[in-house]
Amino acid sequence: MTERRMQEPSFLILTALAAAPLHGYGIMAEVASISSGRVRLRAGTLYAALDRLRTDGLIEVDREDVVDTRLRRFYRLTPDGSRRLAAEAELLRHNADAAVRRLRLAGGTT
Amino acid sequence: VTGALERRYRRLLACYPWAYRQEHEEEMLGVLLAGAGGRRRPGLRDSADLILGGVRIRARYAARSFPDSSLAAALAVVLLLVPVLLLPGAAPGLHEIAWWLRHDRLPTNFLLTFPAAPVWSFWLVAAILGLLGRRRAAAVVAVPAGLLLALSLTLGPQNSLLALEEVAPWVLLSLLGAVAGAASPGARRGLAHLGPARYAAVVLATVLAVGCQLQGFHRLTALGLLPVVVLLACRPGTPTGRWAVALLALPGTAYLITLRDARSDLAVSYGVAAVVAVVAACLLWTVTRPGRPAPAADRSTP
Repeated sequence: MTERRMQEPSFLILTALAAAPLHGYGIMAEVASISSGRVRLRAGTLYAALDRLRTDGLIEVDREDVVDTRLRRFYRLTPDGSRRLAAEAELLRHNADAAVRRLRLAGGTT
Repeated sequence: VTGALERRYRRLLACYPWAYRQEHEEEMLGVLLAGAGGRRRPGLRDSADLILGGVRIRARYAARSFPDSSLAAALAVVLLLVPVLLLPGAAPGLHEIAWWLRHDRLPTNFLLTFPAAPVWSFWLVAAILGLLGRRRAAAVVAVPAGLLLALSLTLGPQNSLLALEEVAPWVLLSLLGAVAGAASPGARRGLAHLGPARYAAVVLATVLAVGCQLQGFHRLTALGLLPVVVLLACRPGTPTGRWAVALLALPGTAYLITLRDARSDLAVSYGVAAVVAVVAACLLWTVTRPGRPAPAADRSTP
């Protein structure tokens, strides 16, 4: 059975967590940076995505800190999450390469 | 300013399930306040995003806890009872066939005599599939059976709006059975809730009702006892029983509306139906009222 395609916010969240564990606000900032400001996650969307990714076993809690009396929970990729992100990135690369090749053949821009 | 903003965010976070808030409210509040800048109140988009996020998480929690919920058990009870409770609906057709057989003849046009025969055959297949545990297959057969039942009786020899109204309870019961077939954890769980003795009481009351109908008793006399037996058998003192009664009250209410024989009975039958609907709504209220903690998600925090 083929796995369901990943939605862009989930892909960007996993990408943000690929380098190091991050807390919620850090993920939002990193996603905005990775997408060059195109995707700005809001808290409701972020936590709905984090809940789904945790349920699917793609991320897990790394640690908890308290800063200025506020709880910060850091998330990290699980080994499954790393594998899934790598597979999704490979699929996107494959599709993007195919698009570029066909545009070249048609004499379009690259 | 931060205090007022925090209060407003907390009010929005009330959209999330209780168990989720226990784990994430302070964390989310930190993120919301960190991104608030100099804002005094939550922005419109942020508010809409939080409400939508709360709805999503609630839907997920409900889906995760559904198999263990009293609603799922009640659907299993409904799945067990619907094939039995549909029998009185088939009784008029069976009565026609019995008349022909008593006169050692077969109807020249079977479908004219018993227009809903194919539909009841479908339902028999659905009931057998459901009891064998092939619930999705049963639902696939039961949905068209319910819709065909309405169609066949409205296009049949007694074609009239009254025919549609009279068949409505049985169609509703069919569709309820189909939903229960697709969504419930199986008739076995329904039997575990009722117990064999209560189930046997419902079957006996149904057979008695069908017998009374075939003997030409008034429908109220023939079917009057059945709702009482079903109500008691469902164990309405339990959340599962209350859900089951509330679900079965939908076709039950439709049936009460059809009981009128003359214009003078109209107000009485609608009145009784309204009382049943209100009682069902009260039962639903008792099993769905807020304040009960949602089941904890299956996860651990290191």
